[in-house]
Amino acid sequence: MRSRLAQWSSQLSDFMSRVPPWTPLPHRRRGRAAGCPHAHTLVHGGAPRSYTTRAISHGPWSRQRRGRGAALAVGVLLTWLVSVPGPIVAQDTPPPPEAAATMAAATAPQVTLEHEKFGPATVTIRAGTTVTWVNNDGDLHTVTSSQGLFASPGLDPGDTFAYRFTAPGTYPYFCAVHPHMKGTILVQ
Amino acid sequence: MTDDTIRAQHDHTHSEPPAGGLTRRHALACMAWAGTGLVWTLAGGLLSSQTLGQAAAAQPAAGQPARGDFAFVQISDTHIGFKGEANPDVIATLHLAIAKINALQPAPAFLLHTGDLTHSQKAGAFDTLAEILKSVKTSQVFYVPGEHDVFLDGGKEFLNRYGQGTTGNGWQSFDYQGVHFIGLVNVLNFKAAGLGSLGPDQLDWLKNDVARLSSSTPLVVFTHIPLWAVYPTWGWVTEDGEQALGMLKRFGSVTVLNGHIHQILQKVEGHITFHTAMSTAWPQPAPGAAPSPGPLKVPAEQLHHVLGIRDVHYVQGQHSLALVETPLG
Repeated sequence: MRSRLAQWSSQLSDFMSRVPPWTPLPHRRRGRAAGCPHAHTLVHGGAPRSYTTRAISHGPWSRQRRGRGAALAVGVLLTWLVSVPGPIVAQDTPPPPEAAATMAAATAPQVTLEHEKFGPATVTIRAGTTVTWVNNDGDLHTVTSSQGLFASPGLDPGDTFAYRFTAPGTYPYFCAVHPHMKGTILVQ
Repeated sequence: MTDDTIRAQHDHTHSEPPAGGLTRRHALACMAWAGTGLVWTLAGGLLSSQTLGQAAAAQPAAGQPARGDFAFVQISDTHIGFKGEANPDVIATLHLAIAKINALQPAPAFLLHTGDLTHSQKAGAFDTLAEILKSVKTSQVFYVPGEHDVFLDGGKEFLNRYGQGTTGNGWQSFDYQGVHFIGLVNVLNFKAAGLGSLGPDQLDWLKNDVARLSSSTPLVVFTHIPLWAVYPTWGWVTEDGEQALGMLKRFGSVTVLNGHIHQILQKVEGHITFHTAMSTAWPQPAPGAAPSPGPLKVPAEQLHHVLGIRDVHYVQGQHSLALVETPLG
């Protein structure tokens, strides 16, 4: 009996050695003892895509990666744009009242939260400028000063947060829910 | 071979060979399970999983567990206050989850909630959850916080509500029917890289907590962010988790239950088994399967299949715990 168990063990070990150490489980339904990997069509960011629960396929994401490349290019462009003094970047969200008086001479830069990133990650502005953050991600985020200067509440998708920077300096910030999300405002 | 014997064999795999030797059907059953992604090993301290069908077939006729046996339930990531396409009504799905819990036989001795009770700590969210959970037929609920529960106030509200009887920032342990349960907090020390962290004080506490225990004591550790490096790129790791696990290596049976990633992943490392849980609110993409983690919108008819609860059975005298994953639909 033990030899048969050992044989079984060996077979299983051999099989499992070929299985990735972390294997996503398909979600099982009542009464189904087991199943082969299922392909699910999932929707993320509005676009349906497919993946299998056993093996993560990177193939379907090539379009996404191209998209990210384009987004990066836009981000670089935006960084350049907001780095140039002057009213260049349009803003949909009206600034808070306290900032309105100084808006005539200030830019209205906007930072977008998407795919767990602040974009652009670094924004250079003049003192007295109000920066607006827009959460275009699907998750909850915050805009929280690393120096304790400001902290947004939890921003749901579509929410915005604005802060007016009055003094020159370097102002790092992060997302309190996802601290790897970091950004910096450089005030000249 | 009946489903009962399959269950018994799975529960005994670390110590006893199958009662009737290995049959083709049993081998196929196990291989089929492996095909679903479950990890099987013959090392000691194994815990096994079953489908609901198997679990139901394995219930004693009277529906009563033997003395010393018990079951408990893990729920996770209820995200009260979430509004988004991934689930337009997280309260409705939580009620569904509670209906599943209340239908379990035997009834769970208690619940473990592995964090992200609320989505954004909005006023009244903790109250809403507390009110809803009153309808669960169980004696007690133990909580550990997720980052969504503490990001605004550093955990003040959470600890005011659930910190009684805990040490430090919510660290807790208790014994139940010979099993030692440990609740760890790894969301209050977020590091720059976004990794979960326990911190040296909590590690010291853990070291002292387990020092008095015999190595044969079964351990269940529950915490929000996985203690193991599930996917560091997305922050699905606890930076100093390995130090904690090092303190637990001498134990013959260690079961680590996590939330945070809203999907079931399992791993076996020696006598330690790791299980992440489904959310009751919304699913997340598989590691690396999307540009970033976050609420994943699935077709409406699939949502209930990717949300769920976990029922854990402990049978006295056996070091393995049996886990039953119950989707909401």
